[in-house]
Amino acid sequence: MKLISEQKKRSSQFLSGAFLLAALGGCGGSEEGASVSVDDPLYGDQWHLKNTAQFVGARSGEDINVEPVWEGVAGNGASVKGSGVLVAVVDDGLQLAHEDLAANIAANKSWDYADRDTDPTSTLLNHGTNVAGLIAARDLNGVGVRGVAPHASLAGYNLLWTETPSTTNIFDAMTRNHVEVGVSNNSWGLAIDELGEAEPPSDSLWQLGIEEGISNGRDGKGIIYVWSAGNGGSDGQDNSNYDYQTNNRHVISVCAVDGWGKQADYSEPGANIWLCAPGGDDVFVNGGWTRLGLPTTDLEGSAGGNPAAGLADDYTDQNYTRGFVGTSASAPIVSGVVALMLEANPSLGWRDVRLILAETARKNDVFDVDWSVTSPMFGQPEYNINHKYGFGVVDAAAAVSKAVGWINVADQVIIEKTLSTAIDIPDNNSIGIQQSISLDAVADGDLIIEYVELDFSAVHQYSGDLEIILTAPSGTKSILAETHDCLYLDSFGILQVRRGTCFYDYNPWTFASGRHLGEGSAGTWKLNVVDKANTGAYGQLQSWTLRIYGRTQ
Amino acid sequence: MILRVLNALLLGIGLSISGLSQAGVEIQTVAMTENVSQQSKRYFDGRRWRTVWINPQELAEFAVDDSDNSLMRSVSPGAKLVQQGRKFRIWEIDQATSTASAVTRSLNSADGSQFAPVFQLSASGGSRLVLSGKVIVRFKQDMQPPQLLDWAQQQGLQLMQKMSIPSTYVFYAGQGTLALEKAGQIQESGEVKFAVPEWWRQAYKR
Repeated sequence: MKLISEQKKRSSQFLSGAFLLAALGGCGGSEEGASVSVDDPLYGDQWHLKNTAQFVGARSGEDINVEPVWEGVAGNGASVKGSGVLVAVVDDGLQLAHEDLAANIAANKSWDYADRDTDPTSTLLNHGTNVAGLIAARDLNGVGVRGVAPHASLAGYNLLWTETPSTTNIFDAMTRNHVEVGVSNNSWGLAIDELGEAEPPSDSLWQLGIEEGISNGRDGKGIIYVWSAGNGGSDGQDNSNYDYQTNNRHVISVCAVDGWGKQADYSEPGANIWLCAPGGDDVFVNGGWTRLGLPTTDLEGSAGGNPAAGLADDYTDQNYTRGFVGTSASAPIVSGVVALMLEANPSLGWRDVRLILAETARKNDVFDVDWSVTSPMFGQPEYNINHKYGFGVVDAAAAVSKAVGWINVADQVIIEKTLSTAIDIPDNNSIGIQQSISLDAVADGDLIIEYVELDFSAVHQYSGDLEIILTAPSGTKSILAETHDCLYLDSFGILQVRRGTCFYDYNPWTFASGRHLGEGSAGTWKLNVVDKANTGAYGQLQSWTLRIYGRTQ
Repeated sequence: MILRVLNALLLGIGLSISGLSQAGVEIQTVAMTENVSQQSKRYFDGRRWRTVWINPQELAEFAVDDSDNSLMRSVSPGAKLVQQGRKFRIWEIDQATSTASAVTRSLNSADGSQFAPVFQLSASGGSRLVLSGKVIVRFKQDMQPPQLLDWAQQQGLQLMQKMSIPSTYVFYAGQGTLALEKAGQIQESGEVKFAVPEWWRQAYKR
């Protein structure tokens, strides 16, 4: 915590330098000196928008490259700030009158599930207001911070005003204002992080809501659902593939990187991760931990995350906080970028947005050993892929440039095949079992893959023992499950390893992968299942269904 | 973040009980659940049948005045509050001081009972699910108001609202496990596309 002071020192040093640069006609992130930030006093601290190594734990250039979009350098030469795009913030509330948000609030589009009216302002819950500022805090208004899409419109749905929303309200939050909503930001989940458990849905209403938003939302082009991939990475046991919401093919699952562009400590890996964005992290410097969070709006006054979240040296202006971290913070960064894309090209369909984000993501942490490349079909781009980072870190300028003039892809086609040959999984054996499904190019079609789902059914005494890997005909592998412990929180709030059994089997469980994007579907798909731990815990693979979503050439 | 930690701690209390149970510590669950039929229940989730388990150590209390613990104390004098929601709160029943008959009477009463069981999607633990008392029904074809009201009356349900997808309505069934049972009966009748109990389900900010 003390090192926040240190960060401020670095910030001050930077600002002095930037002021000098500005005086010499250069462009920097200074609060006083640079024209781009003259009216947003905290803009110089927003390293996720413009990283100039202004803080300890930040490296120059590790940002989302958004300034060219605002300045009209990206795309067709016009300044793009998200105008005309409505972003729904599904969260615990939204302070509609906040000084840095009020100008962007869409009239009568918000919803309060507690009082059933259009004002979801909370006097206690700050998370949604933190999220909203990252998306669309107003620019050049003389106060606070700047959102990624500083002229986008905001609607707040306070679904999480209670810890236990009803399933009909969850459905409602996915479909409300579905004609107008362009982006739905979801910095929450129904699966608890960290435990390594694949908790199933209680019902299909959430899924039904998403499908409604995709089919009929935005005049049939589909709402873009952006989802936090999960904060369970710290203990090494959780994976975004154990979360049924982030496995959903209609959802863009967003991981988080720190100020160096590396995987944030808490960010979960997964074959279903689409891309990352800055989410901040705690950084170990000079023998202590300090938080490099994302500066954003907070409940005005002494309520909210500043100072309640515990950053001793947070902003003195308590309408803002610099302590917001998590995939809750990275998802709204992507939502903001999508708002920019939809302003640049309102005709984009939901699948087109996904494809553009994948194609334009920046390969970060380049020496990470998990990076590989896809084997594309003829005419398709080659993608960098990484279980920690998906296709990389979102690049706003590249995404908006690509969006301009993009021709929407053809209708989606689905191929599905099931193999139901039950087979015992050898216990604690490094070889395991392998089964395969062959897809014939003529009989089944050879699709350009967009997404792959695998319905997996196995009974096992300890599902965490299983490593599950799907290998495409191209040789590209998707690690769908890692051998891991299932955990529980003891009465002191400390994570403990569960003995005997996990709460849930993968029986059935739908895993998903975006790692085969642009590859061909025809050929032999191999499934390897290996029980790598806990001698004495046995199981059997019963069936699996391979489902490929794509389009024809 | 603070709320998240609080959530985790509250959940931890529930999970740790399961952990104790697994480790072989004796918890008297059988008597507590008599007449709440079985520990597990089957229901249709809109696409497939699922099983939920009643958590025998916990009880949800509805429409409560935060400062008034008297009703819960009458059922289980030593009960501990483990989750404070806005529409309900969840208590860990004190095994030593509760009487099985008081708990089951509370769960099964049809007089606007203020209690409901707490469910989970695994026999050994997991996130809490509480029935709201409502059932969501999607009909095979659109229904007009007179038909709908007749149908609801026949089923012993009360029409609450229309959902924004075609032919789908929310009905009130009643507290306890009534919504679960009613949804299952309607689903099994084959008259509808689906009949799903409405749950309050734990959600987590990230």
